[in-house]
Amino acid sequence: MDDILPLIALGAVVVLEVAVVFVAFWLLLAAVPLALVGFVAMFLGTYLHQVRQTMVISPPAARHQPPREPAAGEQPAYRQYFFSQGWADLEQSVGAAAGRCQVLTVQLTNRIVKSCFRGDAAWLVWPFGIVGVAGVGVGATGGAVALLVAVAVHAVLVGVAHVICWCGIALLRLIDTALLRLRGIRMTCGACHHRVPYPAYECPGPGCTLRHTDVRPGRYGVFRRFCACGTGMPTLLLLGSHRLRAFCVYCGEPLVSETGTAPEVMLPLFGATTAGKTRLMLTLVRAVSDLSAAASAGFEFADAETERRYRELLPALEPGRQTRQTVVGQMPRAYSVYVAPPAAVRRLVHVFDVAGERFVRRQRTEELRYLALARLYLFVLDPLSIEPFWRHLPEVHRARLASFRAVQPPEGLFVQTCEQMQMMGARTRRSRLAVAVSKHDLVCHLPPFAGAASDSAALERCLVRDLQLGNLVRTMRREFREVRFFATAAMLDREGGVDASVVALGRWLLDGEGLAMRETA
Amino acid sequence: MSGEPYARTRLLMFWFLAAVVGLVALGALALLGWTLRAVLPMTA
Repeated sequence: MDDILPLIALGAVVVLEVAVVFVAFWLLLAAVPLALVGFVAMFLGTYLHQVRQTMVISPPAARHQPPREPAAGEQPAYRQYFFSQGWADLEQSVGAAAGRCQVLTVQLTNRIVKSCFRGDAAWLVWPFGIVGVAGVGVGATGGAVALLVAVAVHAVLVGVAHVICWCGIALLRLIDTALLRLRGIRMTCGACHHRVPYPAYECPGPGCTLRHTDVRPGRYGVFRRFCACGTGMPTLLLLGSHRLRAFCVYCGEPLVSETGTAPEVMLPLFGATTAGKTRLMLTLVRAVSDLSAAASAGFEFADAETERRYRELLPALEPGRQTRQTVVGQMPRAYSVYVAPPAAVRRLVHVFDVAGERFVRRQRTEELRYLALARLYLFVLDPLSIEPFWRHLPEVHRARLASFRAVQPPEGLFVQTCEQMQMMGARTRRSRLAVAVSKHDLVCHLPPFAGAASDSAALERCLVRDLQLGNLVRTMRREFREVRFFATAAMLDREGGVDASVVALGRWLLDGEGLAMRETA
Repeated sequence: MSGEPYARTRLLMFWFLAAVVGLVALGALALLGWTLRAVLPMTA
């Protein structure tokens, strides 16, 4: 009997072992798919958790920190997310998720090994251990594949967004350029006279003075970009960048306010020293202002600097006072005003007044880039500088007017400046020329001007027949599309009104540029 | 407006990614279920 008991026990163990293996085998069929689904869910959950940690809960610092003193080709702005940080976030999420998944898998495997292959009951439960290990193996493999798929989806999303950004950049730039072209908008620096392809903008953030030299859509932002200080700013005029402070990309000087919102009209004044250019420019601006007011049109100074200089010079227009001579050395800064007639597009009018000495030497004239860009010119002709007129003046008048007389004779100065402008690329034959025979208040009672200022044709006849300026007038007619003569008295009357001669000149200049002013009742 | 420059894009990206991964996972689950439904009667 004693010999049989061990055999019975052994038989029972074998039967039990077989039963356990049988149960484990069937358990395997259910455990493996369950483990697969569980691991896939766990790995995906872990990945999304890590993505949330990286992107929402505790985002890492930007991979490319914006430089506060950018090198050439760089901007003091954060790079657009999909051009830099998107890939960094992806890398960090993948690294963290892979590590976490590995730790979870190892922990689970260790627990199964510990409970099923070690300890006193190991001889009985080892089949369950095999089931567990197999489940972990299959599940981890499936989970890894799911993780790879999730990473691939993430990478594809970032990649597609990157491509969409490039397309958006190209499209936005195209639309912006097309709109600027359609509206005839160009931007010219009033200080250095360069055509500015796109202004530089100062960050609008409080206390931040960083300048962005190229804000257009690119790797720093599609619709908006973020300055190094964290302030957002629009990337195009189309998107509102005109509200920011704009600067010239060549000389760094401030551009007018709302740069890029209105087509420009360039009006260069040229003529001899003390021909009366500054005085005429001031009264002309005043006349345009008065005409605008009478026509209920908009008129505003385009920058504070223009307004300041204008207000500073204005008292010189009072009767009996003279304007200061314009400084030769300085590059002339434009007087810029916005004019907006009720039925026409608002225009930015740049008036350039420069010392007459600049037109004497070619090198000095060459620096005036605006001469090549204009389609409208104003030549100021001092009647006192016309030699036949001056020669025939009685001595008493000569003594009285000598201090008002321009230095250079008009013919040589006009021809030389005109040639120089053409050499610089000015298309004078497509341009209009207004000839202002200045100081009419001084000569209007003297022959041959007495009665000759009634209209352009009469004045032209007077210049050609009486003052022997036939060559000059013919040159003007030949080199310009349209020429009009005005006898101007750049002065204000006692009520502060501009002389009618300057108003007529202003009206002709505006009319030809689509800025006709119709007086409202 | 100042602040974390990528916050809005990251939030959008996260929810979009979660939605896409969720959809892919649901699709895979549905495919698995459909496969099992097709295969199990044959093994029975």
